[in-house]
Amino acid sequence: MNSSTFTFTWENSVATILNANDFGTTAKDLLNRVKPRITQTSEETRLFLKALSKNVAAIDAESIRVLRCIEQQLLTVEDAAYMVDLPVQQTIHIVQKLQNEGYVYPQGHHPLSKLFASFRTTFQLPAVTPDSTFNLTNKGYWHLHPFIKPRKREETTW
Amino acid sequence: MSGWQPLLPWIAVATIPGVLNVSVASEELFKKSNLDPLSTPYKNPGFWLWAIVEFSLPLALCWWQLSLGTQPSITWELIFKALLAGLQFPALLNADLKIGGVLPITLKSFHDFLLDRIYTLFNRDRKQGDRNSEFWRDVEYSLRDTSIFNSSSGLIYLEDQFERMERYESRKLAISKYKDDLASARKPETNQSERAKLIKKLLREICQLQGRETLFRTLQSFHLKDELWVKYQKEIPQNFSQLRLKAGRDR
Repeated sequence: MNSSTFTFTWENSVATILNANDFGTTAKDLLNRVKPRITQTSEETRLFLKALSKNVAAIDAESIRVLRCIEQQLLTVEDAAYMVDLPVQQTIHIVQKLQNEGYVYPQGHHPLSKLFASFRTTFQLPAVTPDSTFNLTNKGYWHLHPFIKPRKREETTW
Repeated sequence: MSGWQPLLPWIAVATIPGVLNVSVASEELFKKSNLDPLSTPYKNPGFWLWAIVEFSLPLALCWWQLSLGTQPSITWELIFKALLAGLQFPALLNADLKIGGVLPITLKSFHDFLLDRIYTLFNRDRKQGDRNSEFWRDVEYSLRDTSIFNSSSGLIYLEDQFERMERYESRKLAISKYKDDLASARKPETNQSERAKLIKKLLREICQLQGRETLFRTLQSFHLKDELWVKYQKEIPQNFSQLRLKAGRDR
């Protein structure tokens, strides 16, 4: 997209998000894309983006809380939902997303077992159910405990 | 020089840091395993493999650092140096280093990473993890069978526990919502399965913050059916089992 022909309005961004399969990720991508050109947008679009970024941050915080819970104890998804006070269906959605991104794996399916299973052509992790339990992968661990602590970034102001 | 037997006294000196490190690291591991009600890490071959690594690493480091291969005379000074080397190893692993404020590296997270991976691989991913999940499920089912009158003493005990934690420990963030949960568990219109789930959540929090012994003590006050205690007779320490209390009362 050329910067001279950059036309970003909140109407078309809503359309993009609503048409996507995964609202959260799309919204995050959109925010990252618009961020450098924030000065070229109109006032009401800026207000919309502010609200959107707040919601995206809330979704991230929820998934971090679920990840913490999974790290500390071995619990079923239903128990995790009770621990973080979220609806079970939403927790299933969050855990599914964490699994797809490689932060958690179902108990008993250690990543090494993927290696052996890769000889088979169709290998898929089971779908997340309320009764399934999860463990953190290495990626998930380092996500919670970064080796190099980043310095506190300044609050992004829209 | 024939064989390794003449080196034995120097090997003995080098084991000092090894023993120190194993004691430090195993304490961390047992603290972690305390958060799961039934797990016993020392029953796993993986734990012993890990212990050998934790033992031999500082041993090798001390051997090289004090150049024990050259057979220096064993004095109190040498033993003191070996002790220092033993202290420095866990201290380094647990350190938070800040190099010029530019690279704030946390070595502790690396050490914890290894511990966490080993624990997950051998205790949560295998049979013991399944057993723990089974235990929590059974707790929930037996809570479902307990009537509200029988569980009221347990709820009072739970409330006491949480209040005590709130008073003495600055963990208010983690246990901020227990009052709401207790209140809704006490309402007569809450159905049994919902109540069981709420109590189980609180029990899990107790276990996470206070360890498994407090959990078993709390479970005793709920007057659960004997089946639970019979099923996990071997895993639950005898002095926390409800069966023992009953036996004492009958006598």
